[in-house]
Amino acid sequence: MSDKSETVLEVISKLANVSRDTLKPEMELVADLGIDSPKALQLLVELEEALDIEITDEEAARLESVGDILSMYESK
Amino acid sequence: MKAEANISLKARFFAGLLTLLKKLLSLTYRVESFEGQERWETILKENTPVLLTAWHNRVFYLSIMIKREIVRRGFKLAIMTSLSKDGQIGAAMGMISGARVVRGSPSRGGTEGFRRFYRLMKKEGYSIVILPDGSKGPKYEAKMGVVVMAQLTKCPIIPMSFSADRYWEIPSWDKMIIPKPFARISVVIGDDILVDRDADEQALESSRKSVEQVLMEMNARAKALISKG
Repeated sequence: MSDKSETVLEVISKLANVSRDTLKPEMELVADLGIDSPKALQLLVELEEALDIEITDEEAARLESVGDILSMYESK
Repeated sequence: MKAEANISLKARFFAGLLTLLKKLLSLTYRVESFEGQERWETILKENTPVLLTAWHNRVFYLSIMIKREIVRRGFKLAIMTSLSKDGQIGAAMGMISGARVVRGSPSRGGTEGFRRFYRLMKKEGYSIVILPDGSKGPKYEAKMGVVVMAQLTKCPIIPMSFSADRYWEIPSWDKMIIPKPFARISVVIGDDILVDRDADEQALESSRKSVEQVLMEMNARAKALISKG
């Protein structure tokens, strides 16, 4: 797994308050991890800062699962 | 999503009517005491981003007070209104006031709305208004959005409240307070509430409770000031 993916998973596990090892790509951000609007903002800002990238509104709107985030970051 | 694009003619008409009504009422009000006026003046003078925060039912008079400063001093302010029909009227009223309007609510379009707020503060230097028990309550229960926004932007939360010696209480979920004509008014601006950038979930929850407590104390303080008068 790349460094980018590791960073992504660390940020998600911290915000969702779950162990890094329990995260699976198919997990849904809202239904499974309880990522509400404020937490989603935290997630996006922290990932942008950690990986020095910018996420567009269109990209953000498509993010529904852990796997969606990983795919997006791998493609950048 | 542009706020302007989602506002019907009907909503604009009602917004215009309500703005006129607010203007007429405001001409009759008399601010009898203003606690924290020095801090308020500094905020307006510096025009650097802050999070103006009040309970939803206190927005009627506070919005009159803030609008005056947008017009008079070019205070850069953004507001968020919900994507509902009521939100359309709020959005139109915000635009008439000269505020930047962001549409969204925790249940619909919330993340996008919060991101727009965040960018307006960080990149364009706007202050924002956040009503922490809005847009649907429960009344006097602060949600997490205000403290997360303060954490990420590193901008202070400025708690605000007001009271009036005579007012109508609208039978809405928040029991909106509208001062009656010729009401005497007291305004209270509280001390800055700062949220550490590295705050964990527990610290954020503690800040959320602190916002709740301070806003309740300020309601009581504003009421006490007007009672004395």
